Amino acid sequence: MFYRVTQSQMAANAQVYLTKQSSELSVAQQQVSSGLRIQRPSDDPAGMRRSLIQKDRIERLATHEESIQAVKSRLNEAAVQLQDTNDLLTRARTIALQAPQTTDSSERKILAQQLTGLIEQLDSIANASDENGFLFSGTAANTQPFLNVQSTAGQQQYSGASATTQLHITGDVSRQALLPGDAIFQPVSREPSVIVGSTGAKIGTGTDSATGQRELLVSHTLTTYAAGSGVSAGSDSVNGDTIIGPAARHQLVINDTSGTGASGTVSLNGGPPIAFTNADTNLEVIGSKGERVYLNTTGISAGFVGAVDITSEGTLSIDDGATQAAITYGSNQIVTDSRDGTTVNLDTTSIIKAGTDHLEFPGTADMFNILKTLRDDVLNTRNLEPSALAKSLNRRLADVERVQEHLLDIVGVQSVSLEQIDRLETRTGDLKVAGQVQYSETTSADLTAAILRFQELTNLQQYTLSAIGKLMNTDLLTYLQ
Amino acid sequence: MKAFDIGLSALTAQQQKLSVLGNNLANASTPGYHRQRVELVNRFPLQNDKLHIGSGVTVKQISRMRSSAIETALLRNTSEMTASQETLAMAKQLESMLNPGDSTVHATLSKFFNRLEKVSNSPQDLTVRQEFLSAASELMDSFNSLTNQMSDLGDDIRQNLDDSVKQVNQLLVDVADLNSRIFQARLTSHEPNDLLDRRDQLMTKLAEYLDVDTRTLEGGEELASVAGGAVIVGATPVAFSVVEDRTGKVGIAAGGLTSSITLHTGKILAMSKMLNETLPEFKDRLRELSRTIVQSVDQQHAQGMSSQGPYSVLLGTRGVSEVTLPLARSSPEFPIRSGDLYITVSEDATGNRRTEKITIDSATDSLNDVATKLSALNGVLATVDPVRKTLLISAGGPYSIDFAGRPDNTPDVSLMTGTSKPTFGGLYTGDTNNRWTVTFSGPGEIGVTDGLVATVKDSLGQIIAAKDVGKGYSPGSSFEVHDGVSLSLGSGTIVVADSISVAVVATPDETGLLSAMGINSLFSGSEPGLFQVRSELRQHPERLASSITGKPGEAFNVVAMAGLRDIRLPNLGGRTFIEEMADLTSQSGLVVQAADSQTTQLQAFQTQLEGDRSSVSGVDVSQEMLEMMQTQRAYQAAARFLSTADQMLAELFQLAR
Repeated sequence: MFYRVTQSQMAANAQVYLTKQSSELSVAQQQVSSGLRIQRPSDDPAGMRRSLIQKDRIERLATHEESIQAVKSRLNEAAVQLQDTNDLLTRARTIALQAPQTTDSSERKILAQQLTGLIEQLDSIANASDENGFLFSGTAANTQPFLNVQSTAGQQQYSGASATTQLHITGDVSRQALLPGDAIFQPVSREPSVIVGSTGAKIGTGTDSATGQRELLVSHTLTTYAAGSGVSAGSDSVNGDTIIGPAARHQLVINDTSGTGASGTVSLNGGPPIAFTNADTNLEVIGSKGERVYLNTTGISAGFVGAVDITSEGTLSIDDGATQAAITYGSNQIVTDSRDGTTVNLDTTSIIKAGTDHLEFPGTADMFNILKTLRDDVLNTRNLEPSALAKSLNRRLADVERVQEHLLDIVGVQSVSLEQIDRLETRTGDLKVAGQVQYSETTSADLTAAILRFQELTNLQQYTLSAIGKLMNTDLLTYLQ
Repeated sequence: MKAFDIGLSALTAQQQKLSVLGNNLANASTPGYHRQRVELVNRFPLQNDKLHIGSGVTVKQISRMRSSAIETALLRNTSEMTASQETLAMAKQLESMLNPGDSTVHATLSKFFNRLEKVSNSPQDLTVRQEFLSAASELMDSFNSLTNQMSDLGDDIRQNLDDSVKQVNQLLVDVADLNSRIFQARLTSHEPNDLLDRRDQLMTKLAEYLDVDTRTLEGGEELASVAGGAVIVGATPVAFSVVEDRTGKVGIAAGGLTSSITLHTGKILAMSKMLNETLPEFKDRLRELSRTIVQSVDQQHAQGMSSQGPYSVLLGTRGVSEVTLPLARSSPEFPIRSGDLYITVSEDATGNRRTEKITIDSATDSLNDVATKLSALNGVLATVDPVRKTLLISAGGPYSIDFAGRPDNTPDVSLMTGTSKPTFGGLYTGDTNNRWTVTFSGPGEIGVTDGLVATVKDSLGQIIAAKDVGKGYSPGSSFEVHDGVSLSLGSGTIVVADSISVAVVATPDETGLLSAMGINSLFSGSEPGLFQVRSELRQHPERLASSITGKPGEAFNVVAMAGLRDIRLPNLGGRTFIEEMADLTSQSGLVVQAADSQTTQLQAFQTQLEGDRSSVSGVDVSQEMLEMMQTQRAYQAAARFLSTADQMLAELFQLAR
């Protein structure tokens, strides 16, 4: 028995195949028109999954490129500012070299004016900002890092944050971007402290924490004399005596020439003899090195001839007298600055007189302070002796060289950061291109294949229609007609 | 005259056959029509003497050309194919919702994290922050939109299901009516072919909705049943209704019952499966994805600080079901585990901060208990809103609070009698919460004593750092201890037994309480579909908790939030957020592909079966035309026979005349 095929079945078959061909034709047409192989998840579920992850990665890399550009822009801006700072320090170094050779005061004033200009320029650089805030305030981007630079005496206060800003790229380590202002303009590379003065105080054995410069104020508080001679402190002794030292460091030599205590001579530390009478209650006696005591000679023992040991107490202060510490005559006495809690270790065993010494903490002065101190030394505001001034100017030169060297280190560090970020940018760009290629391979249609398929389906559809037309014309009814 | 009778029988039979052929031709393209055939038989012969002479022809019956096997297979395949087509249509809707576009979750999720990364590199830029917050809003909008679309799809399918059941009930009424008419017809006549065809067509229609089974009984009667034989399709219609069980799963029940019957094929099964299995799976995964994003981001956000520093008040935006129930049973939006919660209390005037810790046991502690524990800390006041059942944490007096977990700058010195003042700094980069202890090699003076060594040990007693803080160490200068934490020791003395203790915190909130209660969260809202960016942040982008130090240019908390992008989470099947969304999308494609493949296969089988049925039951016009010509010839022959018989009779009459 033959398989019967009816006209309606032929029509139904034609309809089924035409529908199928139209559907495939539509897919091919979409691929040719859009160039995309995946229009919807069902076109290739695995490919769609892959393409979504790839697309996210490409967009992420594009964001990374934007972030890198933004950070690079800031780093470049900072690099220009640091280069200007380096030029500025070079000029300061030249001035520090010129200053010792300049004796003319007007010329020194010109040099000082130039330094004032450099300080103003440094102020501008250190407080430079862009649209994202201050360049050198660390993570405290909205806070001006250095306030009142030109009017501040001593070390400059840093108001920013001591944290480096960072470039954050997910999937990568955070990279250092801009260093904070304190790390750039306030380097600390502590070297042995220096004391300049005549009080006899020396640097102790401990490690200081004070920075920049300080003045050491050595003050006299009380003088007492060994018993037996009958001499005592004069009425101006507390404020007028300049000797300081434990028992026997200083000596009086009394010679009661009258034999009754009524008159005689007295000398301090081998200084010239000074005549006294038993009516003197405040006799000024100057020693061999200019030291001074005030004596009360009203009670000198009759006929006393000989040496009298002196004990003279005093205090130390490094905060302009705000707080004072009694001198212990120890090899390492710690004196604290009440204003910032920093300390100085002093050898006070050899202190012999009151006065003001200059403490310097090389390697700790900030850039602003160095320029200001250089300016002060150029003008010799401390009235130092020529030799002391020359030494001080040498130290200023060393300070300038030190901070310049540090600045070059910073420039180097920032350059390395910039270089790393450049490499990261290149790598990010490469990864993005690779990602785009992968994405394209995943989603793009093979146009040649799609066009061929499109043509094939078009032909097939035409064949189908033609075949159906023929079949429909071969039934008996048509024949009978 | 037998001849006239015989001729008449032939004319009558051929006329009836012509009618049937005409009916066949008329229904040549009628769907479900079975061609009919006239069965002619010779009538009983008449006995004449010893001869049996035929008495003509008669129509025995008009039968439908029908193969039960093919019809049964076709009915089953129709049901399966319709189910598959319905599944395909629904899956395509689902797929179109998940098809990636410019504002779909795929794009907004990517944008959210990209904008977050931009904030991490320009945290001080309010415009960048605003862009991020807009991206966060877009992300929530896209999630909410997709969730709503899926709910709408569920509603549409449910409406279609209701309509389909109504349709089924109407079909069953129609079939029952036809069954009655067929029964009546069979009592009085032969097979009512057209009624049977009509019933077959209705059964085919019914099979589109349910699985239909037909069996031929002895005697040729057909017994039809639906839903795996659960309901017999007889002369009395049974009504179906849509029912829901306690878990919300829908089904259909028959005859007013409430328990659903098991379906095997058909549109209704496809819709039920979509409503009970496929759609909930997608909705659940989407819900879990949005919840996980919100929970993870909120948890990290809560552990940071805005550029304005620590907070005076932190108001929770999420609540619990009952403030006195243990947290594990009080239905917070996100689970709360047992663990430690570290809170940092800063003194506004000095900036000195100390880290306090409370331990939460979620199995026993209620929200009220947590508030009590927090309030017991100096400088912290926590209250529970009895109406909203939310938590409010505020700083008491001259203090501020945060959950950033920075090391205490003023550590615990209760075991220190020397005069040196320790200060911690930096940010802890370790992975675990710990408590470090600093001890000294002997008595001495910081910065002075030779060989005075400070040793730092962790809570297990392991040495993690050692530093000579004697001669050569500048008092007050800071040195790195370990994992980003630095220490400075002020000038002063150290007594041999002195020790310093500090908490280093990697995870300030081990419990998840902060996100669960919406404390300093990025998002508000208590369930997917309602999540949105907290309005306070939209109005004040500077309050975004971008840092852990409160500095505008520091963005470690944003970096941590951005880092969530790459974390593979167990509740997302070990996938990242993007991978989960991509997986969900590809899953929709797989559902479509599976349904499409099945539909194509069943369609091909359907075409084949329809061809087979057409081969048996279809009307071939050529064949019918040949039959018609044959019938016409037979009719002409019978008429000729009658004419001849009439002539013979006339001849006979002529003889008699």
